[in-house]
Amino acid sequence: MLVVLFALLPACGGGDYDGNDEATPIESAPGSGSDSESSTRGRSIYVAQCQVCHGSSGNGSAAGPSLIDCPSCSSTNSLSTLISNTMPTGNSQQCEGQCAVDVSNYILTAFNDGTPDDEPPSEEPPDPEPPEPPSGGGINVDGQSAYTNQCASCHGSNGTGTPQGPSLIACGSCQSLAVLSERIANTMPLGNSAQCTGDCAGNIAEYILQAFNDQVIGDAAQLLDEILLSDLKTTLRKASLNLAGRLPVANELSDLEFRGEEAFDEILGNIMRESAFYARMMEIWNDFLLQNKYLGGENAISLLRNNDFPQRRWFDELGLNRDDPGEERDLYFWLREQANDAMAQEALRLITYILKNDRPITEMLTGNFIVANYYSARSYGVEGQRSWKTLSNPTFPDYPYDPEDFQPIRLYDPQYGAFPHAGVMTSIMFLNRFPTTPTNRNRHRSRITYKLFLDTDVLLLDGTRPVDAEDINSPNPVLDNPNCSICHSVVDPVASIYQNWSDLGQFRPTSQTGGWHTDMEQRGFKGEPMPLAGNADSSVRWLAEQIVADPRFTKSLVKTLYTGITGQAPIPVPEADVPEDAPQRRAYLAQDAYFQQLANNLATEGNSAAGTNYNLRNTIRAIVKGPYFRATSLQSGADTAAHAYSGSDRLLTPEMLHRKLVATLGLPWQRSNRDRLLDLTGNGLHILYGGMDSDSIITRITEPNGLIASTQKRMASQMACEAVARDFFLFPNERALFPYMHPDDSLLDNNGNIDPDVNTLVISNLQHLHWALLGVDARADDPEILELRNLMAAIQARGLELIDEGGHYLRGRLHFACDLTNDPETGEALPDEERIVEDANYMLRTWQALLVYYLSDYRFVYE
Amino acid sequence: MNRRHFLQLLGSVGMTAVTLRHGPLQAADPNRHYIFVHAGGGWDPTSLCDPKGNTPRADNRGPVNHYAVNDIGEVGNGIRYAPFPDPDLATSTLRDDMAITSFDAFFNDLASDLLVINGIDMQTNNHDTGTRTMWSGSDVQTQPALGALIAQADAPDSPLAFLTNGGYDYSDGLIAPTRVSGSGIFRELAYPERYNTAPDANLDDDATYYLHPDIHQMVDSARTRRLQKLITDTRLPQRRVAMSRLYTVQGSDSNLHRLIDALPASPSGGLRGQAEVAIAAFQSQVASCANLTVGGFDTHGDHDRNQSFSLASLIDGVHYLWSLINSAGLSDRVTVLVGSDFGRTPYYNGGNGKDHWNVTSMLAFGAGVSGNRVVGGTNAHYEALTVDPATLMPSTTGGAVRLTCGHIHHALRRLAGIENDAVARQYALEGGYLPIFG
Repeated sequence: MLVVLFALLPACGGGDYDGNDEATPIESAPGSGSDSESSTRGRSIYVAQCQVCHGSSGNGSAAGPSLIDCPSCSSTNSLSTLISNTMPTGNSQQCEGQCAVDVSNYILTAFNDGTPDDEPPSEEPPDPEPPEPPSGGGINVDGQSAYTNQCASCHGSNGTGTPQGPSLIACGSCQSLAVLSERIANTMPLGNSAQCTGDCAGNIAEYILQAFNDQVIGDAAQLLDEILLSDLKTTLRKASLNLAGRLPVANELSDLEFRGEEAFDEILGNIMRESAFYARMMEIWNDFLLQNKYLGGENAISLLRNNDFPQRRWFDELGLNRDDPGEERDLYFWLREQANDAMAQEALRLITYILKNDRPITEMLTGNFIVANYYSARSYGVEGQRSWKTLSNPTFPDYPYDPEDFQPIRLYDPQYGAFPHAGVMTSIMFLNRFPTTPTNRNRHRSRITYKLFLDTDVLLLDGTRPVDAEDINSPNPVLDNPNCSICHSVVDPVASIYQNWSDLGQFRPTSQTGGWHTDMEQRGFKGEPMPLAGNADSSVRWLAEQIVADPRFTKSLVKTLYTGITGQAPIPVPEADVPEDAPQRRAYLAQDAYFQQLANNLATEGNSAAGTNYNLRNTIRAIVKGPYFRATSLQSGADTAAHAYSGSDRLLTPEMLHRKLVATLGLPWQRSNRDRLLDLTGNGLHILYGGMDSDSIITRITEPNGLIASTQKRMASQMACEAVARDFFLFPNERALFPYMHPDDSLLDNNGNIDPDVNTLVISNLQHLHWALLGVDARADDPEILELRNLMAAIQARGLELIDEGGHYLRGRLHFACDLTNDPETGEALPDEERIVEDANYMLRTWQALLVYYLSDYRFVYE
Repeated sequence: MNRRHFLQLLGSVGMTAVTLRHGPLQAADPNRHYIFVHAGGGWDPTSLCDPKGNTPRADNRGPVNHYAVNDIGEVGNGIRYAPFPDPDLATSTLRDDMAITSFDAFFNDLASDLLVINGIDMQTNNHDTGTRTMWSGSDVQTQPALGALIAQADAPDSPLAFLTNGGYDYSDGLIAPTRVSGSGIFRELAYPERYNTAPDANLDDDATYYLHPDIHQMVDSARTRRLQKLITDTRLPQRRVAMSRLYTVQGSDSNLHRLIDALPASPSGGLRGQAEVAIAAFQSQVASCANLTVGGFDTHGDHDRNQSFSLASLIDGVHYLWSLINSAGLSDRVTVLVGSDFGRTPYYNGGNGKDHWNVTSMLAFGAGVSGNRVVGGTNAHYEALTVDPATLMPSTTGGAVRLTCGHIHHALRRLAGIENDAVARQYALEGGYLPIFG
């Protein structure tokens, strides 16, 4: 069967995966000598650069296709063009011009029966200048040369990694020359570790440390040291709002003031045990996993096949009357919601289960289980596997099981037996969210696996598209056509690993269902074939073990958390021609080293024997206490250009803004009992404010636009209206906003002057609002506080004028939308004396105006 | 990282001065507008504007289409179009759910305006890359959508310059795209400081405000002064950028009240509704460009039936858009482009579906488009043919080229007058200029 193009091929053309190709291209003497001389030169280059993937006989390996009778082997011209543009993978500038011609001649002579033709190479004549010698200058030149020849194709010319190999900047084995030398000697290059041992390994190790670590890490440390950090109190407020949607309480702040960083760590640790924190973690991970698509209705349950899970709609079998309003109907829809939504979010719940139980995060991929609550477990027909926690006062006494009690379960297929779970990767929901087709053959799932768990975008693989993209004539282009195999050799082995899982996410082991395609690369990872013994039916689990052992796994976790917590995407890889000392490259390398250090710590902190390493809380704590999250200014003399991305100010997402309103005002922003910023329906504001539905809208808008600005204004006007009277209704010590004020306090006296006694109270209350709403700890004589006090005086004065002028505002009362005539808790009508309606001196509306100011301030709608 | 973007970022927040745009309305260029209609998932042009019919392929892969060659329609100057892909569906009980069951009216009505561009080589069959390439002209990840480029050039100060319902709306920070989720909320947002925004509210009555308008004005002024001071004081470039962006949009009048005045009393749903918002935004001069989208074209299984649903929505919506443009008197001001991620295979798979194929088509009509034409072409196996660069007719002569999105976007940039725009020039296109739009 012929295979055409698949959904991942395209990208050959992007070109700049690592974007940092600083190595001097290796070129032979231009156009000189006979074909045999060229071929001889080509042989030495082939051995150094190509053999590791294509084999010494050119017959290929798991890492590279065969070159015998390859589609581009018809002429020197076509083959050298291909090599110039695409090879070595990830570092195509390494062999261009005459170098590519020489290698082509060798390949044609040695592995193909023809002799090289006489066509001139299609490239521009190579640069007549000889290549620049290695710069030396403290660099191990032999190591540099060996690295360029043997390592750069996988790890990138500047060590920042490629889809074939991880970054070497601040790598796990980079802590000492001895460790790194030994690692290289014993394992590198993959599949041929005897190629570089002894001095070779030592030289390369020294070069890696000199070029990619000492210098880069030193520069990174210097750059990050230039960032001035927010104080612990401000940091705690920001972290508390971010991670748990609440403000720090008074005793936390006093504890922080007394014990400093020790208290900070303790409080943050407690925050990371709150239910709101786990909800926040699901929110962060959903931005990547997109599982919330299946929330609501039967969107998740309907993905199960009835033959596989005959209990999937168990709530239908209870005989509940769901047509007529009443308790049975309420129960029916409650049960359905608990089952469906638990199933929809099972991948996200797995991550929070790991966190709650202090298990290593590697289990999100390697765990031989998925999690469920009682209700979703019953849909899977495995509720008997666990003893479920019950609530003391359940909504429906017949169903006392806590919907928040998620526990590990193992699923069974009626025909094929126990699922070989691999955490998230074999979740039926995950497999449906990232589906495949008979012709796609799991390649989409492979791409997503690389993207989500290996910090690798395979669409950025180096290479170019063939001129004629409709290659349906090659016997097997994904194997034979290097234009195709450059991507497929990375993607297909992982795609094949998913072969035991159907397009519907069903467990269908190919050992029992007719095998797998033979015209694509078989199961493997990073050039190593998967051992079939013991893995044939559980190959995703084998892959999971490989992934968590790969340094890119922890780095992908770090980047996921960093993006979610700071709201900032990692700095993109600079273009290849950006100089080493350019600000943007310095910024990128500093952040990459920072990520790598966090990744290393994630893997090593804790006790692996006790299973306490791979604890995400350590990473979250490090991010929160780190320079990007806490950046508040720069030292004088700092390289401002290199700090373009230093900081974490973000337009709050609709979810975060919703939580901040509740946390600061004690009120959600609602209409018709729907939270406006969370509402995905037509009149909701979630999408308009930049949110996503995890279905068709899967990215967030991070920059404000006109509609977002209008939404902020409306939110500020409406919430200020609702909040003032409600807050004054409470006892002063219960108030979130006006603890220092009495509703009758007037800033202006009868003569229109500022009343000194009330002024003191107003100043104190402004300080309180500044902290509560803006996170700014302002002194009483802070110019901004005084300016706001003056604004209040001006507003009150104008308000009194309006009352004097007559018309609507003559009535000296609050707008009827903003007054309080019913108890906010019970909804019952208040007696006249408790109602907050009158505002004869315009002071309540002055506070209302101040709240409009605060709620639309940059420091409120951003964090 | 795109260097231009990086430098722009640094320049705009240079630590010595910030150029802030803030103040009275500067509406989008009232003269020219662009609509980009995206058929999400990869449409099948052989089921629409590049029909092949059921002639068996020589390589035994079966026919390209299931419909008969004799059922292919033709209008105008050689514009050929397919019959409805699933004739059974068209006559089934499901027809009530479908907007149309034939393409005849669309092609007949638009024939004199319509430009069909066939045989475009997308050079990819990946959804993300294809969508980006279709609407930016390049597969480079930082390439902004054409709508963003035009909007930043024509209406940089308009907060709603680039309306989007999805598709490809990446702007590389040039301008903030505005995501539209429905028109029902516009009235509230048009009058954010008013309690009463009902259509029958007396907008001259101060009582419709939460606070007296004078008070709101005082608050706005104070907040603006404060933000200016914050921008001046901060030494953190990232913060300064964020503050400056908010300053710009807070200080600009979104003019939503003009938009809602131009909207129909009973807005439609689907693509029709998207079209109504876009045209109202153009009429009220608050937007420059708009992305409209219809999904469901990724028909790996049961292709004919599933393409029928999506094509029905698409063609009905585009037909409606065309009529809206004409009835609003905007036909000399609005250019419409219809495209997709890529095409679909010229044969059916085992599930009677069609997989991804790198050859596709575009439809164009409106201002600046010379209609009643077909350019480019494909062979019987739906493989792209090279074209003569002058006539754009299929040719194999020496200078013949294979049409790509790079060529199309070169022509579109010239059409939009941004070919030499300093910002647009920072985003390179491959392929030279071809007189595609006339």
